Amino acid sequence: MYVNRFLNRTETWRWLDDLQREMNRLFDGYGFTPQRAFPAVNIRANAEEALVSAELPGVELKDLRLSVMNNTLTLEGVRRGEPVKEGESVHRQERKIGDFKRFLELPFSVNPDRITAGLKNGILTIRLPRREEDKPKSIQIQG
Amino acid sequence: MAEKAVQKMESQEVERVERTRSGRTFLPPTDIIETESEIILLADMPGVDEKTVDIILENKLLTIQGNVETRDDNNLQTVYAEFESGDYYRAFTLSDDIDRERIQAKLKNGVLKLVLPKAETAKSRKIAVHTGE
Repeated sequence: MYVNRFLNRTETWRWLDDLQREMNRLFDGYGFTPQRAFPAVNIRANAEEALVSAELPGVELKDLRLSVMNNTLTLEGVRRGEPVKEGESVHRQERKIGDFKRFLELPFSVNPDRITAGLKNGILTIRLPRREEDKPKSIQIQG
Repeated sequence: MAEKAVQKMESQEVERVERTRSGRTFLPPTDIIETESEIILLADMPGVDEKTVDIILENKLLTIQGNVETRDDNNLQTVYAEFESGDYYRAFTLSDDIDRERIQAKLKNGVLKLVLPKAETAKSRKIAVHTGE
Protein backbone atom coordinates (compact mmCIF):
# COMPACT_ATOMS: atom_id res chain seq x y z
CA MET A 1 0.00 0.00 0.00
CA TYR A 2 1.18 3.51 -0.71
CA VAL A 3 0.09 6.97 0.34
CA ASN A 4 -0.98 9.20 -2.48
CA ARG A 5 -0.89 12.87 -1.59
CA PHE A 6 -3.60 13.72 -4.06
CA LEU A 7 -6.39 11.48 -2.88
CA ASN A 8 -9.90 12.84 -3.26
CA ARG A 9 -12.56 12.40 -0.60
CA THR A 10 -13.91 9.03 -1.74
CA GLU A 11 -10.48 7.67 -2.31
CA THR A 12 -9.42 8.73 1.17
CA TRP A 13 -12.24 6.77 2.75
CA ARG A 14 -11.50 3.84 0.57
CA TRP A 15 -7.87 4.01 1.48
CA LEU A 16 -8.74 4.12 5.18
CA ASP A 17 -11.04 1.16 4.69
CA ASP A 18 -8.27 -0.79 3.02
CA LEU A 19 -5.91 0.14 5.83
CA GLN A 20 -8.41 -1.04 8.43
CA ARG A 21 -8.77 -4.32 6.61
CA GLU A 22 -5.05 -4.72 6.36
CA MET A 23 -4.65 -4.07 10.10
CA ASN A 24 -7.39 -6.56 10.95
CA ARG A 25 -5.67 -9.14 8.83
CA LEU A 26 -2.35 -8.51 10.54
CA PHE A 27 -3.75 -8.88 14.03
CA ASP A 28 -5.95 -11.78 13.23
CA GLY A 29 -2.94 -14.05 13.05
CA TYR A 30 -4.40 -16.59 10.66
CA GLY A 31 -4.32 -14.44 7.57
CA PHE A 32 -8.12 -14.28 7.54
CA THR A 33 -10.02 -11.02 7.39
CA PRO A 34 -12.50 -10.78 10.25
CA GLN A 35 -15.92 -11.24 8.81
CA ARG A 36 -17.66 -7.90 8.58
CA ALA A 37 -20.69 -8.74 6.54
CA PHE A 38 -22.99 -11.64 5.77
CA PRO A 39 -22.21 -13.85 3.95
CA ALA A 40 -18.57 -14.66 4.52
CA VAL A 41 -16.81 -14.84 1.16
CA ASN A 42 -13.63 -16.41 -0.16
CA ILE A 43 -12.15 -15.54 -3.53
CA ARG A 44 -9.62 -17.72 -5.27
CA ALA A 45 -8.24 -17.21 -8.75
CA ASN A 46 -5.68 -18.11 -11.36
CA ALA A 47 -4.91 -16.49 -14.71
CA GLU A 48 -7.97 -18.10 -16.34
CA GLU A 49 -10.80 -17.85 -13.83
CA ALA A 50 -11.97 -16.79 -10.40
CA LEU A 51 -13.82 -18.95 -7.92
CA VAL A 52 -16.00 -17.20 -5.36
CA SER A 53 -17.47 -19.18 -2.49
CA ALA A 54 -19.87 -17.96 0.16
CA GLU A 55 -21.37 -19.57 3.23
CA LEU A 56 -25.12 -19.20 2.88
CA PRO A 57 -26.77 -21.73 5.16
CA GLY A 58 -30.54 -21.75 4.92
CA VAL A 59 -30.70 -19.56 1.82
CA GLU A 60 -32.87 -20.83 -1.00
CA LEU A 61 -31.83 -20.50 -4.63
CA LYS A 62 -34.93 -18.44 -5.40
CA ASP A 63 -33.91 -15.87 -2.78
CA LEU A 64 -30.51 -15.29 -4.30
CA ARG A 65 -29.52 -12.81 -7.02
CA LEU A 66 -26.20 -12.47 -8.74
CA SER A 67 -25.04 -9.83 -11.16
CA VAL A 68 -21.72 -8.90 -12.62
CA MET A 69 -20.29 -5.79 -14.21
CA ASN A 70 -16.72 -5.80 -15.45
CA ASN A 71 -14.84 -6.95 -12.39
CA THR A 72 -17.52 -6.33 -9.76
CA LEU A 73 -19.75 -9.16 -8.61
CA THR A 74 -22.92 -8.29 -6.71
CA LEU A 75 -24.35 -10.93 -4.45
CA GLU A 76 -27.69 -10.17 -2.86
CA GLY A 77 -30.59 -11.98 -1.36
CA VAL A 78 -32.56 -12.69 1.72
CA ARG A 79 -32.15 -15.22 4.45
CA ARG A 80 -35.52 -16.11 5.87
CA GLY A 81 -36.02 -17.14 9.44
CA GLU A 82 -38.85 -19.09 10.91
CA PRO A 83 -41.38 -16.72 12.41
CA VAL A 84 -41.83 -17.10 16.14
CA LYS A 85 -45.38 -18.15 16.90
CA GLU A 86 -47.35 -17.29 19.96
CA GLY A 87 -46.55 -19.44 22.93
CA GLU A 88 -42.98 -20.06 21.77
CA SER A 89 -40.02 -18.75 23.63
CA VAL A 90 -36.62 -18.14 22.09
CA HIS A 91 -33.78 -19.27 24.32
CA ARG A 92 -30.95 -18.54 21.98
CA GLN A 93 -30.71 -16.60 18.74
CA GLU A 94 -27.32 -16.60 17.10
CA ARG A 95 -28.22 -17.06 13.46
CA LYS A 96 -28.45 -13.88 11.45
CA ILE A 97 -31.47 -13.39 9.22
CA GLY A 98 -32.61 -10.71 6.83
CA ASP A 99 -31.49 -9.04 3.62
CA PHE A 100 -27.89 -9.02 2.52
CA LYS A 101 -25.96 -7.42 -0.30
CA ARG A 102 -22.29 -7.58 -1.05
CA PHE A 103 -20.16 -6.07 -3.77
CA LEU A 104 -17.06 -8.06 -4.50
CA GLU A 105 -14.11 -6.86 -6.46
CA LEU A 106 -12.60 -9.56 -8.63
CA PRO A 107 -8.97 -9.57 -9.68
CA PHE A 108 -9.96 -9.18 -13.35
CA SER A 109 -12.83 -8.46 -15.72
CA VAL A 110 -15.03 -11.51 -16.30
CA ASN A 111 -17.18 -12.83 -19.13
CA PRO A 112 -20.78 -12.55 -17.84
CA ASP A 113 -22.10 -15.13 -20.33
CA ARG A 114 -19.94 -17.93 -19.07
CA ILE A 115 -20.51 -17.64 -15.32
CA THR A 116 -21.71 -20.78 -13.57
CA ALA A 117 -23.00 -20.98 -10.01
CA GLY A 118 -24.16 -23.74 -7.72
CA LEU A 119 -25.61 -23.93 -4.24
CA LYS A 120 -24.90 -27.08 -2.25
CA ASN A 121 -25.33 -27.71 1.46
CA GLY A 122 -25.45 -24.00 2.15
CA ILE A 123 -22.30 -23.15 0.24
CA LEU A 124 -22.55 -21.07 -2.91
CA THR A 125 -19.82 -21.54 -5.49
CA ILE A 126 -19.50 -19.18 -8.44
CA ARG A 127 -17.07 -19.84 -11.24
CA LEU A 128 -16.22 -16.73 -13.26
CA PRO A 129 -14.06 -17.13 -16.37
CA ARG A 130 -11.79 -14.24 -17.21
CA ARG A 131 -12.67 -12.07 -20.19
CA GLU A 132 -10.68 -13.17 -23.22
CA GLU A 133 -9.43 -9.62 -23.95
CA ASP A 134 -8.26 -9.30 -20.37
CA LYS A 135 -6.00 -12.36 -20.38
CA PRO A 136 -2.27 -11.76 -20.46
CA LYS A 137 -0.67 -12.29 -23.88
CA SER A 138 2.78 -13.63 -24.29
CA ILE A 139 4.91 -11.58 -26.64
CA GLN A 140 7.40 -13.15 -28.92
CA ILE A 141 10.79 -11.48 -28.63
CA GLN A 142 12.62 -11.27 -31.89
CA GLY A 143 16.34 -11.78 -31.63
CA MET B 1 -16.65 3.05 9.84
CA ALA B 2 -17.83 1.42 13.02
CA GLU B 3 -16.78 -2.13 12.56
CA LYS B 4 -17.64 -5.09 14.68
CA ALA B 5 -15.40 -7.96 13.86
CA VAL B 6 -17.53 -11.05 13.93
CA GLN B 7 -15.68 -14.20 13.20
CA LYS B 8 -16.59 -17.79 12.93
CA MET B 9 -16.25 -18.95 16.48
CA GLU B 10 -13.91 -21.77 17.14
CA SER B 11 -15.16 -24.53 19.38
CA GLN B 12 -13.40 -24.69 22.75
CA GLU B 13 -15.05 -27.88 23.87
CA VAL B 14 -13.17 -29.91 21.33
CA GLU B 15 -9.95 -29.40 23.20
CA ARG B 16 -11.32 -31.52 25.98
CA VAL B 17 -12.37 -34.27 23.60
CA GLU B 18 -9.46 -35.57 21.60
CA ARG B 19 -9.91 -35.67 17.89
CA THR B 20 -8.43 -37.92 15.29
CA ARG B 21 -8.99 -35.51 12.42
CA SER B 22 -6.82 -32.54 11.69
CA GLY B 23 -8.11 -29.08 10.89
CA ARG B 24 -10.11 -26.53 12.79
CA THR B 25 -13.45 -27.07 14.44
CA PHE B 26 -16.11 -24.40 14.62
CA LEU B 27 -19.07 -23.70 16.83
CA PRO B 28 -22.22 -23.65 14.68
CA PRO B 29 -24.41 -20.57 15.38
CA THR B 30 -27.60 -21.94 16.89
CA ASP B 31 -31.16 -20.86 17.58
CA ILE B 32 -33.14 -22.63 20.29
CA ILE B 33 -36.89 -22.24 20.39
CA GLU B 34 -39.12 -23.85 22.96
CA THR B 35 -42.78 -24.53 22.43
CA GLU B 36 -45.20 -26.14 24.82
CA SER B 37 -44.53 -29.61 23.49
CA GLU B 38 -41.07 -29.50 21.98
CA ILE B 39 -37.66 -27.89 21.77
CA ILE B 40 -36.53 -26.83 18.29
CA LEU B 41 -32.86 -26.38 17.60
CA LEU B 42 -31.53 -24.82 14.40
CA ALA B 43 -27.79 -24.89 13.69
CA ASP B 44 -25.91 -23.36 10.76
CA MET B 45 -23.49 -25.93 9.41
CA PRO B 46 -22.64 -24.97 5.83
CA GLY B 47 -20.89 -27.77 3.96
CA VAL B 48 -22.41 -30.55 6.05
CA ASP B 49 -24.94 -32.98 4.58
CA GLU B 50 -27.10 -35.71 6.09
CA LYS B 51 -24.32 -38.28 5.74
CA THR B 52 -21.64 -36.28 7.53
CA VAL B 53 -23.63 -35.15 10.56
CA ASP B 54 -23.75 -37.00 13.87
CA ILE B 55 -26.24 -36.28 16.62
CA ILE B 56 -25.76 -38.03 19.93
CA LEU B 57 -27.98 -37.77 22.97
CA GLU B 58 -26.52 -39.28 26.08
CA ASN B 59 -28.45 -38.73 29.27
CA LYS B 60 -29.04 -35.01 29.07
CA LEU B 61 -26.07 -34.17 26.91
CA LEU B 62 -26.84 -33.48 23.27
CA THR B 63 -23.84 -33.45 20.95
CA ILE B 64 -23.84 -32.24 17.37
CA GLN B 65 -20.94 -33.03 15.10
CA GLY B 66 -20.50 -32.28 11.44
CA ASN B 67 -17.61 -33.10 9.20
CA VAL B 68 -16.75 -30.97 6.22
CA GLU B 69 -14.61 -32.41 3.47
CA THR B 70 -12.21 -29.74 2.32
CA ARG B 71 -11.03 -30.05 -1.22
CA ASP B 72 -7.98 -28.18 -2.31
CA ASP B 73 -7.99 -26.83 -5.79
CA ASN B 74 -4.30 -26.50 -6.17
CA ASN B 75 -4.22 -24.44 -9.32
CA LEU B 76 -6.13 -21.61 -7.64
CA GLN B 77 -4.62 -19.05 -5.34
CA THR B 78 -6.42 -17.33 -2.51
CA VAL B 79 -7.05 -13.70 -3.37
CA TYR B 80 -9.31 -12.81 -0.48
CA ALA B 81 -10.44 -14.91 2.47
CA GLU B 82 -13.06 -14.38 5.14
CA PHE B 83 -13.87 -17.90 6.20
CA GLU B 84 -12.12 -21.15 6.67
CA SER B 85 -13.68 -24.56 6.23
CA GLY B 86 -13.66 -26.94 9.12
CA ASP B 87 -15.72 -29.34 11.15
CA TYR B 88 -18.48 -28.39 13.56
CA TYR B 89 -18.91 -29.43 17.15
CA ARG B 90 -21.29 -28.28 19.82
CA ALA B 91 -22.82 -29.79 22.92
CA PHE B 92 -25.94 -28.77 24.85
CA THR B 93 -27.35 -29.84 28.16
CA LEU B 94 -31.07 -30.39 27.92
CA SER B 95 -33.15 -29.30 30.85
CA ASP B 96 -36.28 -31.29 30.19
CA ASP B 97 -36.74 -34.97 29.71
CA ILE B 98 -36.87 -35.64 26.02
CA ASP B 99 -38.86 -38.33 24.32
CA ARG B 100 -35.93 -40.00 22.58
CA GLU B 101 -38.07 -42.15 20.32
CA ARG B 102 -39.63 -39.19 18.60
CA ILE B 103 -36.61 -36.97 17.98
CA GLN B 104 -36.53 -35.69 14.40
CA ALA B 105 -33.49 -34.36 12.59
CA LYS B 106 -33.45 -32.69 9.19
CA LEU B 107 -30.61 -31.15 7.28
CA LYS B 108 -31.42 -28.75 4.49
CA ASN B 109 -29.18 -26.21 2.76
CA GLY B 110 -26.58 -26.56 5.49
CA VAL B 111 -29.00 -25.93 8.34
CA LEU B 112 -29.65 -28.67 10.87
CA LYS B 113 -33.12 -28.71 12.38
CA LEU B 114 -33.64 -30.84 15.43
CA VAL B 115 -37.07 -31.30 16.91
CA LEU B 116 -36.89 -32.68 20.42
CA PRO B 117 -40.36 -33.53 21.74
CA LYS B 118 -40.74 -33.26 25.47
CA ALA B 119 -41.61 -36.45 27.30
CA GLU B 120 -45.16 -36.64 28.65
CA THR B 121 -43.97 -36.37 32.23
CA ALA B 122 -42.00 -33.23 31.53
CA LYS B 123 -44.84 -31.28 29.97
CA SER B 124 -46.08 -28.62 32.27
CA ARG B 125 -49.37 -29.51 33.85
CA LYS B 126 -51.82 -27.21 35.46
CA ILE B 127 -52.02 -27.96 39.12
CA ALA B 128 -55.24 -27.24 40.84
CA VAL B 129 -54.75 -25.37 44.07
CA HIS B 130 -57.24 -25.93 46.80
CA THR B 131 -57.77 -23.90 49.90
CA GLY B 132 -56.01 -25.54 52.79
CA GLU B 133 -58.89 -26.30 55.10
